[in-house]
Amino acid sequence: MQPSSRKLYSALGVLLLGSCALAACSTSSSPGTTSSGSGSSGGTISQFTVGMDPAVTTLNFDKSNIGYQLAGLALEPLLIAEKNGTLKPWLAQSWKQTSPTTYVYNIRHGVKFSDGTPLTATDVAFSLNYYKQTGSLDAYNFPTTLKSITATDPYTITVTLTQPDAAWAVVPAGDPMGIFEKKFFEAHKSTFGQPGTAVVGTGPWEFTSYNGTTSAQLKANPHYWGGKVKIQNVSVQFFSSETSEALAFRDHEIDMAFPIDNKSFASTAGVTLTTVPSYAVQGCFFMNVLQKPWNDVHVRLAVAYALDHNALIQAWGGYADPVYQFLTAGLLENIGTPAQVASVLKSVPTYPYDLAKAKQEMAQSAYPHGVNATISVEGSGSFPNVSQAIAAELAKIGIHLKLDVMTIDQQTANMTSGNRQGILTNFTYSGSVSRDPGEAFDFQMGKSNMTAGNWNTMNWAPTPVDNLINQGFATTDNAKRLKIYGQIDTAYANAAPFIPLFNEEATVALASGYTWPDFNGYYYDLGPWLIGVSKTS
Amino acid sequence: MTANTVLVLADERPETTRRGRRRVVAPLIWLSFLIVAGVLVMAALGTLLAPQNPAAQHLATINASPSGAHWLGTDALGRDVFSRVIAGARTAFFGPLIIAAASFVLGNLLGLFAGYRGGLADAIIMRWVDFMWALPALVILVVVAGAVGSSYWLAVVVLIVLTVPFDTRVIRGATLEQMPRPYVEAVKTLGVPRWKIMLFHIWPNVSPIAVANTCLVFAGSLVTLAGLEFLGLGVPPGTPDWGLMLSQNEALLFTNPLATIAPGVMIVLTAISMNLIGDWLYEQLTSRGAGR
Amino acid sequence: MSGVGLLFFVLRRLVVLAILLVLISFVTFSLLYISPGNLIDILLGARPHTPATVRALTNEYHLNKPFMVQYWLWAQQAGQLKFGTSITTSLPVTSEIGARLGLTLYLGIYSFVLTMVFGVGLGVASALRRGSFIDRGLTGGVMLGLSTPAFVASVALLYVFAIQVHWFPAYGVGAGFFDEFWHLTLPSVALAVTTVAYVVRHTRAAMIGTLDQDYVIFARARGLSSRRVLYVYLLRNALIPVITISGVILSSLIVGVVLVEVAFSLPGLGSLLVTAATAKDIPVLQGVVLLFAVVIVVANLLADVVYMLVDPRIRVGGRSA
Repeated sequence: MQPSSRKLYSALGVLLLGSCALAACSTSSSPGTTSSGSGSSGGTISQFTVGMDPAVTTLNFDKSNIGYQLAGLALEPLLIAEKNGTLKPWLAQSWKQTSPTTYVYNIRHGVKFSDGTPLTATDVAFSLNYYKQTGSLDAYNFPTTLKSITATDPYTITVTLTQPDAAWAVVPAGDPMGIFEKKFFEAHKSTFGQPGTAVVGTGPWEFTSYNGTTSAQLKANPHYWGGKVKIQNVSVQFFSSETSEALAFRDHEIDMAFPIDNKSFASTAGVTLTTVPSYAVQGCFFMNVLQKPWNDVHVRLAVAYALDHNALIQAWGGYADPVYQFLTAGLLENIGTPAQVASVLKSVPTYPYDLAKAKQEMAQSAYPHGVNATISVEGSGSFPNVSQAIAAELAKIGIHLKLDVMTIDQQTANMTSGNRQGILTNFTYSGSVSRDPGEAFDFQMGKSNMTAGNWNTMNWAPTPVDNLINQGFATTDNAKRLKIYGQIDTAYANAAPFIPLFNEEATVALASGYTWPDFNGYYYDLGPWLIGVSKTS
Repeated sequence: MTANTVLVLADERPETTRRGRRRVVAPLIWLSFLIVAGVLVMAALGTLLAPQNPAAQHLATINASPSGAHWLGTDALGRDVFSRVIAGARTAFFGPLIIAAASFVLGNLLGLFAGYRGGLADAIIMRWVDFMWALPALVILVVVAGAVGSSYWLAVVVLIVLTVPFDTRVIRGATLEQMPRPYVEAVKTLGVPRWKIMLFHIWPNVSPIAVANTCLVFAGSLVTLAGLEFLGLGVPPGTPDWGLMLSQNEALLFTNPLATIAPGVMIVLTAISMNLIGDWLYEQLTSRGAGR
Repeated sequence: MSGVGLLFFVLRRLVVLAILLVLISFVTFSLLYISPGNLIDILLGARPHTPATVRALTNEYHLNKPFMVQYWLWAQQAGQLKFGTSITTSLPVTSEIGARLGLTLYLGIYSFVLTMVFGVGLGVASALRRGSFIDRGLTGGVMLGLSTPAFVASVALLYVFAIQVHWFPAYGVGAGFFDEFWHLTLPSVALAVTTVAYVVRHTRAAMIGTLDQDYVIFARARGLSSRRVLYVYLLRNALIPVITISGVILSSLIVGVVLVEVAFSLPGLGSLLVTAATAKDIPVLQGVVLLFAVVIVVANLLADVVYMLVDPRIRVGGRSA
């Protein structure tokens, strides 16, 4: 062998050996990835790692909704809502409704921001008004009946409405209403909430670092009014794809994740997901009643019978429960007992899967021999899957769908455009904006939402239903409200402008050794939600 | 990606001329032809050949491993992976075919023209070729998709524009090598019109390189287009397509890895077969053909 | 080539570079206008479409002014590296790019080193061992490498080395220089598969060509040791063609970086480009495209200059086949 070649081969050999050596001493040597439960004494968790996908690019709620969950660890709301919907004091130690249109909140004394500054009503009023300003992406959380939020003294906030609105009660609860420090905001106006700056709040944890593409680090807030919390350090890792997040979970690099594609995540991560039935997110097939063929009620009823909810849940990826009413039992149980809700829903018509009945309805419609139509499809996640499954099911009754795939921004633009005729029928999901049955899906109901920028994509708003909607807000008598929402459900069922298909279950992947009993579909209404996580003893 | 294979083609050939002509076609080349023929058949007859409907969803058996009913298992919607791989040959074959053909015609014309005419026309054309030479085709496709919207056929058109320079350069080089030969001078003095000289006298001697080059262009465009599909910026979701399947089934690596591996293997096999054929054609046609 | 001649060459190329950049910037700017759909809707993204937001947007993007004025205003800002704000994340485009630049550079340089080391090394070995098993094996490997696009290589490597045999991490970037090195090994290898194949093939061909040259035989006849011959004469001449294809290597690396970052879910510039294209986030697209264009144009100029310096036999201009 020639000397030159020998040198070459020996070099290659060294390289190979070297990489083997490196492989042997690789894996979890990176900081911040110490296995769960390290350094724990009496339930204390020194390090807890949460995965988030996609990366949280900003914590400024005015500019984006993406930061609620992460910011919620440092920013706290006035109230929190428990699993069953009950409102509890948080930063506000008490509140009362002094008139049908006025609510007064008393701020807790002695609460400090993580930099030591005391919390006052000025910070509260400033934060809430910042969130509700025109053009803010957080503004949709506030009802249109809101008139003003003012700090009437250093520890009192007064909220006035233009008219009585039962939906206001739950608004101050939840992460989208996290209170931030006004002083900090004014010192960092142009970079507030951005990577490098983050936010400052009263919460159990404060940000020590925030990099918009890779991670955020938080440590326990020494001034926290709620005392010592179990988790001392929180590391939040960002992932750009759920597959890599699942792989990280599998490798015990993260202790918690919120999967969207549940089935894939569970199998890739090798974990059984914690699931809880939820009414927060509803998958529905929305039909634009201004367009042919959806303007024909028989076509709509045919669609109602022709869609196999269970099969569509499979296409969605599972982890969802079928629903057959618009305002479901779970949602209505916020204003009534299960027995009361059941008796109200008994008289609401439902449409279980029945191909024969579907064909009968089609025969009675204007299109007994079938019809073509176009639907819009958001091109990501399971939307194409379910839309294709729907197309296959409707083809069986003669409705032939063409799928127009678009980005979420394009679809949003189409669904909220001023040209109501041109809105494409679609399968998408509705996320409720509140636990209050009236407010939850109010954004897609009523004549006022049949305008540009609003979400009544079905363009269905008969006056009797609009009246019922107003009546539902006008009274705070729960029994009356329950009856009203039962009637609304019936009206929607009879006209079937959209088909409610399933309620997504709330899912979370939790590493073994941890438990989260309070987890529910509205976990972000629990304020600093990570407080509820503890070690299984 | 096509640039490199072309460049190497033009430069490296001392070995084959030394070893002389091969009389026996290596079994590897037979295999390559077989594979390409197979893909062509799949592309042309896709849905007829597939054992099951590539779009049919069996929602009860999703992410299933291979079985008697589904030879390569099922994907996230319960669709038969084997049928989808067969159906996916269509987008893998026809786009590149059109790109190769269009680029062949335009590239040859431009290359002949530049090589024959010389002077300013040549300089301008070569400036343009030099500029386009090192452009990252996929990045341009991504940007176009971002600005105008994802579309398979738009990508095909853009790729044609990006591939013509390569053909032009190769043919120009080959034409330049022909120019000093006596027959060119002879034909010129005979007063044959310029375009006839280029097309009927010079081009036949240049054609072996052109044909071999086309195979390489095909392989390169196949790979680039599949890359675009992989990024989700080509065909609409749900279309059976090798590149798209590769990315969509990446999540199935733990449950049914074949769903990702099979389309990947098909891409590589087809590309490598075309590359081998192109090389072999070059060897055959130049060691035997006129003008060398 | 004389120093003055070289200077003239560089100056001329710089002028061409400037013209190219202006052209590219113009095309990049126009991306916003060739987008189908209402411009306002595109720029608003998820934000509500109200008269106030529309007015703010019109002012921010100078939509009332004529096209060339808009271009000029945009170009001025671009010159100061201000590309506006991302439609999807509301962050400044420059900081989005800045946050990801390090990772992509690391990946690119890592792959480039792998390409040069293995490409030239294996190419030389193959040429020296012409006809042997190693050579034939390498030629086959080259064929495979040329036909395996970066995304197929990525998924294959991910499957084999990260999932089946747990040698490498399958995700993430790692913290700190050496951890990052470990995490980026698989992606860099996937990226280098095609470029190594190019370089091996090219180096091998060039080496074989030079080995037969008279001056090498002459040097050997003079009794110079094999090693000296190899290092002094062969490598230098064999490296010149590599410089020629360096432009193509760069574009191949750029294409590969996009595919590999998406396949391994790495938060780099490549995945930013794809996310922006999918979401029609035009300001980000403009920023990234301009950055890539500058890199390509400058790199090509550098390659030409190096070529000039290394091979004095080449004259500038003239017809070369």
